[in-house]
Amino acid sequence: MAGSKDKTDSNGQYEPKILVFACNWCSYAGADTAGVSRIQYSPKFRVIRVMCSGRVRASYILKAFQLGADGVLISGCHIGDCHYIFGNHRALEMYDRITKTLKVLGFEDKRIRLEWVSAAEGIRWAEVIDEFVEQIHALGPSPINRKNGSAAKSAAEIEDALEGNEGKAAGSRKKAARKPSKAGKAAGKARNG
Amino acid sequence: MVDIVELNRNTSALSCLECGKCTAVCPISRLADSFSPRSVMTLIVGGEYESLPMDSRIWDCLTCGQCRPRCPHNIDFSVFCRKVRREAVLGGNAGVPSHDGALHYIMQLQSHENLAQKRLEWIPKEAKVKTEGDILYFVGCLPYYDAYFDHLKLDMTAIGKSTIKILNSLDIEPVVMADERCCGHDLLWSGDEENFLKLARHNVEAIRKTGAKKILFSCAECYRTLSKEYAEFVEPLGIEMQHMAEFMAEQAETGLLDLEGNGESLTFHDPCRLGRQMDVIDAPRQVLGKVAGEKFVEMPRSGKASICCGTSSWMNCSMTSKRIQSDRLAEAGATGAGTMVTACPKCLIHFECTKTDPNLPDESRVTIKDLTVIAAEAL
Repeated sequence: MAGSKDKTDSNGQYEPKILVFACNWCSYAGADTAGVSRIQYSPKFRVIRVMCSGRVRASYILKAFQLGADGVLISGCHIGDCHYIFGNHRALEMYDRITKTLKVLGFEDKRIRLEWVSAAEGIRWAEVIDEFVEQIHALGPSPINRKNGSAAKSAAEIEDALEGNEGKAAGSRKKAARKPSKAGKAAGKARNG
Repeated sequence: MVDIVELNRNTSALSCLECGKCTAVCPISRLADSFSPRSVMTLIVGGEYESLPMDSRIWDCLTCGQCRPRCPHNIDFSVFCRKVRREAVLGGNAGVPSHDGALHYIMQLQSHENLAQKRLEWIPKEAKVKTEGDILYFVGCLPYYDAYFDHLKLDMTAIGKSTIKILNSLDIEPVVMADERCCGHDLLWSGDEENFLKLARHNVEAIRKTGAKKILFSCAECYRTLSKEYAEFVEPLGIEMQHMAEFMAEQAETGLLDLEGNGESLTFHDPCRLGRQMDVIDAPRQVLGKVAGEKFVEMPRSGKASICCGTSSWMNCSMTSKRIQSDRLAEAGATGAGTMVTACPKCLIHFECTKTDPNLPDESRVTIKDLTVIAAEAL
């Protein structure tokens, strides 16, 4: 799978593979909230539901990168809100070790991210995903997906790519923020009626 | 499919007399009666080798090689297991890797050509290193262990720093490779020959580029793999190789390396790959003799009879492994030495991991240090 073929979208742009681990109790429910509130956000990621962010082991992330992922996001309950009391503290510990390990491997530290999203934060879920998808698009293919001879992007190039996207993304997020209120009202009416 | 003719050529497996001397010395058989090397060999001799790759027993072996010198026919049971493991992985019996395979993924990720590793950031500014020259220091996976085992606070790169410090004190500026990859030892011994070959070919090419005439190791596994397996699978490098233990013993002998310890009592744990498999028994003892003098004490199981540290190639860490490790720590504690020295970073990690067990008695909590670290402190 890794680097087996070019991953491009219809415009010939590189289409990165983005993996999201979401905990069952907060973040996955937050994604649900985003869905039922009809918030528009990037569909360019794959989500894996886990029972707790503490369940995500360092090996899962390394395996994802080995299989060709370009970015991995882990999302759990806010600190203090973990369904299993300390699961997200475990996730934090693991995140610390895995970022250090990936750094030695030469992966940019922006390819991995840890976020806390609660079940009520549908809008925040959409924002986190949009931001992360943009970030990975700006970074381009991961070191193992790069074609022979092509080097990593420089910090300035990544900055440029991010700025280019910013207008579009901010617009879509504004739209996203507007939409749920309408949809929410409609849903509220339907229920009341 | 097990090619019995090929297996027999490499390991003389078919010569087994079923005498059971291997089982008598096997550290796993001693603690777990579900495994014995003899029962596996009986299958081979009885012609039932086709079932072998799907047998969980081939993953129980520590590949420590304790059985080989006892075998009347010198059967290499470790290499036998290694070769069957390759078939086992292809057939879907991949064993149980410890850490959920995280360390194997780190090694597999290193097999990709385009990686721009940041593996030399631990080298202190005052250390003198080069990119081309006669003497190469093959660092191994130390920076990865430092990052991955961060929670154990092991300071694995101290081994690298000490090695460079010792070499610098002898006016040697070692070559270190920014694009070095894992030697592939653990992948080979856990049945992933394909990625081992990628790593090996990359390293051979990178080593040739440095123009090195001698390679030094602080890791017993890298030493074995580059000396034996690279010659078998890729090509003989034709470069002199030495473990730091041998190198330091040689330098101490000629008086160039002056070591003086702080009067602390020490004991030495022989790593399987260094002692039994590469025949380096006296060299570390000469170095420790200089450091500790009379205060160097031997454990009952030492030299060629040394016990394995309980796990190899990050596979099958079990209760049996932990028993082997805590028994060894108790043995070290009983000698009265406060520090157990070893010459393989893996042994150090495994013993330090065992020390996190709250039920381990206080007498067993000896300090564990690498040989290069002890030597650098005694400079």
